[in-house]
Amino acid sequence: MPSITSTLSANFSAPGEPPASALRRWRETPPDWLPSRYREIDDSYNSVTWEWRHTQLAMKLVLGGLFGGATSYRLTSLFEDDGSGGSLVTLNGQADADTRAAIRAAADSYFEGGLV
Amino acid sequence: MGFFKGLNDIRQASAERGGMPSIGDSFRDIGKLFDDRGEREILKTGVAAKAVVRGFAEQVPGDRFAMRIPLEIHPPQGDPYTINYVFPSVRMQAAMSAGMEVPVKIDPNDPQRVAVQWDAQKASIAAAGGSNAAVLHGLDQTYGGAANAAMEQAMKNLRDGTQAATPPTTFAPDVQSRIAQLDELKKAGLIDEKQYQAKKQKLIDQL
Repeated sequence: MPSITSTLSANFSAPGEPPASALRRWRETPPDWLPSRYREIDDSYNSVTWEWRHTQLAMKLVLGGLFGGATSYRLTSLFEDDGSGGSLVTLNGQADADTRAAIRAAADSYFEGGLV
Repeated sequence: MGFFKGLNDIRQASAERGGMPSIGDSFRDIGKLFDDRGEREILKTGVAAKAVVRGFAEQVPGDRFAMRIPLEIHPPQGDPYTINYVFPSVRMQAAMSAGMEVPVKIDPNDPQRVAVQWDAQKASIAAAGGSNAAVLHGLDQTYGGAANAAMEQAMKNLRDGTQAATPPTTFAPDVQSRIAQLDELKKAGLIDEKQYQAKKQKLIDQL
C-alpha cells in the first residue's frame, strides 16, 4: 500500500483540445513526466489509469518474495471540458518520489496528499 | 496487578462480543469479504460507460458483505437503463451518492452486470474538489437546490431562535415552485436583489 505522502492531485490544461481528443493523445503518447515503467491498466469514458508495481529490495529480503510486499502506485488522469473548447486534466493517485517531483514541475497546480 | 487486570478486561470485553470465532468461520468470513463477485473480470473485458447514481448505498439485507445502490447506466450505444448495482462492500474506495456521475464497465454478455472503476471515480472526486464538494454537487443535481434551501432555512431558524427547522416542501421541484422558494429566500434576506434576478432568469431559461 502506498504511503499518504505518495498521494497527489494535480491539474493540467490542454487548451483548444476537446477531452476525447486529449484522452486519446495521452493514451497514445503518455506525458514526458510519466516514466515508462508505469503501464496503462484501465481506461474509462473520460480517464486513463497507469500503474507501477514495485517491490523494494528490503521487502524482497525480508519477505523472500513469498508474501508480496509490493507497492502499487496508481495514477489516473481525468479529462473534462474546460468550457472553452479545451480540456481540464485532473491527475489523481499515488506516485514514487521522482515521478512526484516531475509532476510538480510540469503541472499547472499540485496538491501534495491529494484531495479528500 | 495492572497487567493482569488489563488481560482480564480484554477477555471480558471479547466475551461480551461473542468471543473468538472458530478458525473455519474466520476463513469463511475472509473468503466472503474478499470475494470480488466477478467484478475484476468485468473490469478487464467490459465496455466503458457512464452511470448516474439514483439513490444511496445501503447494505443488502441478508448479505453482510455486500452493498447495493441504484445506477442509471448510459451505454455507448442504446438507451439508458437502471439497475440495482450490488457490489462487495470491501471494493468501495470512494464516495458514491445520489446525483454523482460514476465511471463503470458493462459486462458485454450481460448488460445488467457492471463494475465501478474506483480509480477513475477517485479522480472524478478530486476534479470536483474533494468528497464533500462531489457529494454536495450530486445532491444539488438531484434535488434541484431544495436541500440547500432547507439547510439555509434551518440555519436562519436557528439564528432567529425558532425551534424547528422548516423541512423542504418537495424534492426535485418544478420551475414555478423553485421561483417561489427563491421569493422566500429574498424575503428572508438570504439573497439580494441581484442574486434573486440572476437565479430567477436561470430558472426561466429552463422553460
